[in-house]
Amino acid sequence: MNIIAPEVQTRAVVRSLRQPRLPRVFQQQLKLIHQAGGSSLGMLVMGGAAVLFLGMDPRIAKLAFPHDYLPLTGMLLGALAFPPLVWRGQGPRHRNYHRVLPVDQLTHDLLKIAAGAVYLMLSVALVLIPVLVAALMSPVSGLVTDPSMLVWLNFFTGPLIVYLLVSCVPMLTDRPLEWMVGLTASFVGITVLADSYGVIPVEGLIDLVMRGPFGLMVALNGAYVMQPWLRYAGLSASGHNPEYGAWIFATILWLGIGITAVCLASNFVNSRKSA
Amino acid sequence: MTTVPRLIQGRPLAVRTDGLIKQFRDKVALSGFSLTVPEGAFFVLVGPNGSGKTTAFRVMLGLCQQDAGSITVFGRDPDEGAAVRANIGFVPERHTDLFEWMTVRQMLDHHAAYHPAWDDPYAEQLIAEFALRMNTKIQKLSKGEARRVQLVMALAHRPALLLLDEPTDGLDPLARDRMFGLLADHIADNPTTVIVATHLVYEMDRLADHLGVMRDGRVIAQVTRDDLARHLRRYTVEVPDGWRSTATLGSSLLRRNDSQREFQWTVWGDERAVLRKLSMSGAFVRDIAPLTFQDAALALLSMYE
Repeated sequence: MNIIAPEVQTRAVVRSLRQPRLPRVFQQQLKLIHQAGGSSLGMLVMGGAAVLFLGMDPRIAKLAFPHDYLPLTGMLLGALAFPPLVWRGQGPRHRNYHRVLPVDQLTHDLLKIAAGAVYLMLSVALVLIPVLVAALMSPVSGLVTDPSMLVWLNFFTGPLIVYLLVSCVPMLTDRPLEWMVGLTASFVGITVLADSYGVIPVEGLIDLVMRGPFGLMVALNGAYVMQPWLRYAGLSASGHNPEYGAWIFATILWLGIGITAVCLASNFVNSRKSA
Repeated sequence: MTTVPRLIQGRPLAVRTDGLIKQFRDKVALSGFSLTVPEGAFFVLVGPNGSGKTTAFRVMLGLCQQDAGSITVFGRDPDEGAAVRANIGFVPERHTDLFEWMTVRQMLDHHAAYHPAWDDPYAEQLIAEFALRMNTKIQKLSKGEARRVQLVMALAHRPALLLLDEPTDGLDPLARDRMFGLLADHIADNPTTVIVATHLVYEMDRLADHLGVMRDGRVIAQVTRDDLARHLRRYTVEVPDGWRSTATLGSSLLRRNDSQREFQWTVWGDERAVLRKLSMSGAFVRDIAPLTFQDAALALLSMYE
């Protein structure tokens, strides 16, 4: 039997009760994602996707920037890669170590997601800078159009919304890639079927969520609303006047939905507390 | 005749659970799990596979919430979460939850960052004792090496409570010996309560001072080492032809190994009282022997078989 003096016992308990400060936890999560290769891989994917979509534009030499829609599409798709990288090796069944650490579990999950968001934003900035520099240095005049802060902001908020929404997948399943493909295929399938068979309520719901006044598409590229269509209609990008008000509202709404979804996913996994 | 105790009373408790129930879909993991672990105890928890040991640990860590019943760890509800976990060093049954892309050094640094009480010199001492290869990736470690990393992670912040789930699993004999040496030193130097879930009870012989026995999600016995020494005996008995009655021993008879006319009975109770009853029934007691820790655990485990 261990005989322990009461005063020693008390001292030990108080000492161990010290928990890490949250900035320290955030810093560790940044380090963790970096060590897991998430930051560099994410940047690579983001850059690759943006370049790919830039290259798809036949008018690349006369790209109107930042108004052109295509680089943003690449970044939105690039953002899909970040959540699985951030949660690499930490699916629900392998998250015991993460959960056993002395940090509130929801706070811990949110700090991890925030750390991933930092790398996402950094990746967007790193992709934007060379494109902007190239546009500025181009002999073709007028490539850099509309320096509105809101347009620039859309490059960051769009991928951030995608990142938050998709973060729920690796938080809830050990097979995020399969689920992402499956969910996308299901969504496309439902949309096509609803359209083909004229299922009005489903069509209406999809339309409202995706293309409604404050729908996901407005949030993702609202600062560029209708720009591709304008292009097809023969109008110039610089002549386009997007609905900034709707875009701002949709952005706030969908960022809120993303954060709520992430909190719900965290609570679900942590309260399910399976064996 | 006394019966095997199910609760330990009269001392400040590190862990106290009362009637915990936990069910996962159709599987009942805990069914009235009541445990009292005194502060400073080295408590060995034994039970067959699936008896609920790991689930009990997870409830103590707040990783798993009970459906019914109550639990406190140093007077706190594990649902308080982080504050309770800060006081616990945990070696899980699985060794695969570590970050496989990290080196051992990175893994330990990461863990240390979460524990302000992390003691660097002590961690270095443990690393040296366990001969950890610090620049090796976690994914390249053997099971035993990963287990040693987990032990350093559990010990180096000097927690008030250590929960060790099959801690020697994967360790070679030398590493086991080292681990027990380190654990003994750790307990001597730090006020620590230790709960070990294991199948290898004999390994804990030199450290354990409490034994808890689980079956079907509940604790069927928990006793101190002193009580085991005082109350548990194996009686070798010769009986006359046609002798049948063992009913007088009632629930105190834990285990029997009968062969023709020589019986071996493991009985819980006061030795004199048992002897009196046996001789009154016509049996001749040829030998009385105390049990090893391992045999005591086996005897208690077979209580309700």
